[in-house]
Amino acid sequence: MEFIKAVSRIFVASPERRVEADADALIVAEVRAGNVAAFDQLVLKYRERIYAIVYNLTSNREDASDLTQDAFIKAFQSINSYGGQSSFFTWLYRIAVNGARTHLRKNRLRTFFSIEQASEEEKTPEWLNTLAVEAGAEKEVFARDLRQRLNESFQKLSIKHRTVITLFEIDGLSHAEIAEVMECTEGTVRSRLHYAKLQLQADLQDLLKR
Amino acid sequence: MGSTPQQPSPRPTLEELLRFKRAERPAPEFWAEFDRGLRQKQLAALVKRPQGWARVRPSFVRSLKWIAPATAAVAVALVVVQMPLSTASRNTSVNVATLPVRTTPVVAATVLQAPAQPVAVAEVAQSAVPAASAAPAVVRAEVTDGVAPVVAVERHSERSLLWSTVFGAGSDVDEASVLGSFASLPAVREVRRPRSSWTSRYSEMAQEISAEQSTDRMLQLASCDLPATPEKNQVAARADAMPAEYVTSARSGRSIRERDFRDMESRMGASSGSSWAIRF
Repeated sequence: MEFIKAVSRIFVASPERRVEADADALIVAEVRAGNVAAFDQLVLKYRERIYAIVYNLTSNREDASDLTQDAFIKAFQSINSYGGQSSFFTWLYRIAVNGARTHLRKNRLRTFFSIEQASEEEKTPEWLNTLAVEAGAEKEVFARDLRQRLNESFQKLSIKHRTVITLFEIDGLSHAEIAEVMECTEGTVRSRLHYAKLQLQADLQDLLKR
Repeated sequence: MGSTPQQPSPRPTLEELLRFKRAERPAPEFWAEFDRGLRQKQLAALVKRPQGWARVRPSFVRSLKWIAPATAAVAVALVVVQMPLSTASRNTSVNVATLPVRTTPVVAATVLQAPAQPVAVAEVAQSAVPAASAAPAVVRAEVTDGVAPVVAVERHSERSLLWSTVFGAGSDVDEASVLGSFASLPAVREVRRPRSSWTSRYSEMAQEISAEQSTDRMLQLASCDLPATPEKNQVAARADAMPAEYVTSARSGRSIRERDFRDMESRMGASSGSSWAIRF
């Protein structure tokens, strides 16, 4: 069964992913051989993506920072137990996502949002200006409120639905990769994604195009 | 007063909103702080000794690699060692005979419990060599005080485990009839199963009680591992006095309470004149 899964992964993964996975495997081998500093390369490579996922799951930048660090520490500590059945990034994502989900379950009642700033590279979309004008607010203020609103809508989703939509929409993973990270079937991923989008649409109805 | 048609205000789709959310990125200063915190945690993880289960787990997991094969090897060895024993037990057959007995029934008991009443003592012949023949060897027993003769029949299994059968017979039974009875005996295959409790042991014993009716009754006692010394193989057979508490075989720890005998008897539906055999 493991063999079939490994083979299917080879065919499912894109060429870029495969190159990436090979490069990661070399670094992992170095770390295992005792070159602890080599792990920094992996941190540099994945920290932003891991942080983005955890942040969108928790909607709290402090928690996201801690959980991202914890994910890297955990990966570092158990790198010898990483068997190579899945690619390193999938394994690391799984650690991060599981850590975040555990954190969310433990702090179910706590809702404290802290919002990140938008990347300066991102161009302000036209609809944001229009909505800001409609709302009679400054663009920055409106953008901040909108982020807050989106975070709230995300937090209304179940952890599983939130994880799927975060991995798909925010990080851009494929269904197969999400299935591997979440250890479920692709059908389950598609189903969760569909319902997550329906729920978000219902919640953000007043903002969306009719 | 013409009114211009109002343009629908551009509104985002869900995908556009999600793209907007994706643009949330921490400032570059954040990563410097992040790296510092990560480095501290990494060093702490390197220095910190694991506690409790985390400390034991690596060695436990390592030890599992040899514990599992070792356990399997021991289990296989036990099975291999036990197999000849069980095979020998299965291959041993015991003959059940019904003898015409007119005197009081004979019950097997240990020599030490022999009461004041006349006792017939049978000395079971010993043989260190496995018997080549499957036929039972009938040994005429020593008769004490002219009481009922006790005949001991010994059988040897393949592993020199001694199977002895002691039975009592009336004083008027001649040797020829005894030998004739044994000559015509069919071999009964003994099936020995592990007995986990008294209940299973009892039910097994009850199954083995022959329901054949006869004018007299006989108790056959078969013990699979009588001690090797001839003197200990002396089995006293008592006639009318069932031991107050136990009827004990020469094998330690294998004893049957009297009430169990009585209970079996009542199950058989015959308090006298029945023929029954008990095997341990």
